[in-house]
Amino acid sequence: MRVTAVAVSTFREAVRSRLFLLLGLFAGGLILFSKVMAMLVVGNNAKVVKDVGLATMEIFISLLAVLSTVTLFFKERDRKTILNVLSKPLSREEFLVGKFLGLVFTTGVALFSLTLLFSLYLWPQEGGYPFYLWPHALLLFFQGAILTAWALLFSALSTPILSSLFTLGIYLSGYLTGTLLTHYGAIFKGSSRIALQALYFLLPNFSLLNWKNQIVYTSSIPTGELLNGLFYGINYTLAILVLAVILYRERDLLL
Amino acid sequence: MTGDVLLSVEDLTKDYPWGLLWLKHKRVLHGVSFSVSQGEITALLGHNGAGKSTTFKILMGFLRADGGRVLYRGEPLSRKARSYIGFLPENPAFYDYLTGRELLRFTAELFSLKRFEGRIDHLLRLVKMEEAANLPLKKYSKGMVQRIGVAQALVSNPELLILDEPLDGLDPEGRQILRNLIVDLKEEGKTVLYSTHILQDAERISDRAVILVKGKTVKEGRIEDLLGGETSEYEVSFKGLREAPPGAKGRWQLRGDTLYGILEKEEEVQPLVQECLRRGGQVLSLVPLRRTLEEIFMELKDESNGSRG
Repeated sequence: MRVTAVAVSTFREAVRSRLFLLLGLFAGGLILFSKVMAMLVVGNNAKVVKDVGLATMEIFISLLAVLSTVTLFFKERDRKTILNVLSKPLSREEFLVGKFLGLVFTTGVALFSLTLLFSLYLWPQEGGYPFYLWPHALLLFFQGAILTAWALLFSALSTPILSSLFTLGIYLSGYLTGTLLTHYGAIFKGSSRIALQALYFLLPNFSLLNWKNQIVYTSSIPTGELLNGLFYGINYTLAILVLAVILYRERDLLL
Repeated sequence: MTGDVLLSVEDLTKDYPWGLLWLKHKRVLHGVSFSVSQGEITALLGHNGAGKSTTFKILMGFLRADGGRVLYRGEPLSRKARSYIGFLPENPAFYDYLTGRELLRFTAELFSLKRFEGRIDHLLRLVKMEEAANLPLKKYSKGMVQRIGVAQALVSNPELLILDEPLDGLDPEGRQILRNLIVDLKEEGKTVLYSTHILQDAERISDRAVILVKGKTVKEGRIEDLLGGETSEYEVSFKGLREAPPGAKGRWQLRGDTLYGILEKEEEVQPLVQECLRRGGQVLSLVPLRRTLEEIFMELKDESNGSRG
């Protein structure tokens, strides 16, 4: 009940923020504008529309996850509302998990709305309802959850600017992780290789969660890859959340 | 039972990290010790930076003490024990999109309470906020925020209330309302520990006071014991006299048609009054002037500065 109360209040605050509104309007506008962009490009117009729409969804969710987490956590500390909440019989663990659930639910609602909008937009062009967007959205949801967990971890330990930079760093590195072992695995030997493997497991691997290129061309995600992505997304998110809780549990609230 | 020690703070120390990479430490609490008795109002007094808020933050688990301990009913203060404590932070801020009633509901959910609407209605009446209960908190004045803050601290019907500077920044009417509320809470059987630097208020409503100077307890006791009960001076006023009798000691002033005198010694009072009556004066008042908490506080602060300097 306590976790739910924190999650609900976090969700209410997140959806009221200007950031949510601005990012939502921008993403929605960009999707609706994708047909105009497609007309300006030589080539397969349908693919451009899909490409722009899918890229917009991904960037919107990633930015929303990072920025709403960092700003909400900063506001909580800056206005000292956190003192009121944590003075109740609510552990730091419950507080962080409640915050995480509220933020992830916010991202989920935003992603659901955007996917619905995009699917309705694509429907006439595709000649049938594009159901394949939903599995992609589900995997993107976990990308957002991973970024939320990282942003929460950094926000609990550092300043908003540093938290944003660190999480955006994690976001960018998440697209390179997949190539770490395949491209550099053979170069590094011994302890360097162990360090490389540690980095591979520590950083998120978004290539398991992002099937944008596949969808643009084949309009499907293989079931095995979908399940693998879901398994990875759930476990990785939980791992980062547990790490955030461990680091935050004993920390002084210096406000 | 009234008078039993509810909370005991023993030799608390706290260092704050600072500097590059927070490698340096500054000690802000040098050994704070005091106790809070059940059913009493205890004031934690001190100048800005004396360590009042840091002490409260340790009590509420926001900070961890580097030394010393806190006992609640003789046991180390645990998270469970904290559920018997209601807390109002300094300059309280709440989610301002909530209404007053929603804030109390949210607080009740954090305590995992069931069937709390009746309690919420009672609290809204207690803090005289029934009419504003459905307004968003962002429309509340400072005094209203403090009162709804006290109400949220009372949602779980706690034994002990810890209020950090509840009277700070309020206008005279707001201060009076909150002072009366604190006294009402005591009459309801609550124990109140609050901090303030408004010493007149502390003197009026507290049973006990703890004086902190530079992160150290320099005095603790019942208000009447701290004030000593001893009279330092006497103020006497007369009608029908324009000046003090010749040879009268003390400081004298004529205001309107009343002559005021301050006498420093008790033995001077009786002969002076007799002399004034003999000269046709009429005694309007004779008031023993006690030392105030403010004077005691300033003396202790000066002593502390002297001993450190």
